[in-house]
Amino acid sequence: MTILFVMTLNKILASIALILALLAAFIGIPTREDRHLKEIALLIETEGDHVTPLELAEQIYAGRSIRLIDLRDSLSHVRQHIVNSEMMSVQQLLNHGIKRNEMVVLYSEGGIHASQAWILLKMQRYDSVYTLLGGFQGWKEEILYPTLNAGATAAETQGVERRKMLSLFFGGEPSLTSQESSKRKSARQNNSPPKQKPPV
Amino acid sequence: MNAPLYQFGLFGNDTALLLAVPIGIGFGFFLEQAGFGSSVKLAQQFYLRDLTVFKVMFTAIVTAMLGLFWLSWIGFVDLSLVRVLPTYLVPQFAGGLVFGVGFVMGGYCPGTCCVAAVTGKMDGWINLTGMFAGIFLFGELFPFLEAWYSSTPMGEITLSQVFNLSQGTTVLLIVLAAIAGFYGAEKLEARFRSVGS
Repeated sequence: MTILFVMTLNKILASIALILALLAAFIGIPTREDRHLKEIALLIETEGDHVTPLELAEQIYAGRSIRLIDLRDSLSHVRQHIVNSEMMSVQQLLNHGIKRNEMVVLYSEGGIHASQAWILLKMQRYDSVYTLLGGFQGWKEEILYPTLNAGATAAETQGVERRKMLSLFFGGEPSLTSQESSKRKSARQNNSPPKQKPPV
Repeated sequence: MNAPLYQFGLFGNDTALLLAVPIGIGFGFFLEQAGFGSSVKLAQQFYLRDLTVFKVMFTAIVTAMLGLFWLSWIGFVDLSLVRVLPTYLVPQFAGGLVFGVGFVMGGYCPGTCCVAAVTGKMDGWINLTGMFAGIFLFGELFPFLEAWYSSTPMGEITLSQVFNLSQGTTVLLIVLAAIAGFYGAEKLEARFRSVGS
């Protein structure tokens, strides 16, 4: 009886395998390329293609392993860059052995170059790649030199201390009170030369 | 797409190494459950009296193959990210021969000798020692073997590429070969068991 059951089970399993194999032969190729393109389109639509400067700063501060790639030219990179970022051209990026299991954040000056590079990497199925929203300009405005307008709303003043701390952590100069903001503004109006920042 | 989990960044190198431990233990457990901790049972296959190794291994191949195909079809696994070992025809042919001769002589393959060793079998420990001695020797001689080791490269090829067939057709052919093989194995076992007894 047991032998009969085992034989029957074997035959059932073999039959299932055969049916699945016949269907597989009918399907031919299991992966359709257009699904990948749809996924990329979906990521763009749902804003899953980027991280905001604040999100990035929080993640770096929390010690998460992130590979930061600066796609700007060498002069801009030497002048100022996000801590631990490495400079690369788009061509180098494609041949530079980025691991598929590491989180990569690309940034350029405004974000266009980084978005173009993001598409190229996504087409090659690198899934943990993001761009920095607003590029390095956005990083400077939100993290390095954040300002708070005199007429800031309650929502805008929320988390000011945290942002100050993050800014200082990345070597920035936050002016997150209306007093500091107005001082900074007047300094800018007086055309005082901007203070040279150390690479951050 | 969600898998391969490592490639999609669900965990890093450290977790991957840690996960290798339960996977290895699980693999060893099922080898032991299939009776592969005994060199006598394993050696029986070379006399065509017990082809369990062939049946278990071919079942594993068919299960994994069908699983990968269908999981890819439903969009869970990205087959393009599944690592394919590159083929180096001549050195791998020689390696296969060394493996086979070692298996016949020792009664164990590398995995089953570990299973035998941890279940307390002396012949398993002797095989394991021999295997590590071989690994050490190969490592030491590698500078002299390197050119040959990398000769006749064919890249990361698969059967469907070699025979210019779709993956689905290749799956069907392998499943048919497996079913025919299982049927033939049963017949051979019935015949040679009676001869041996």
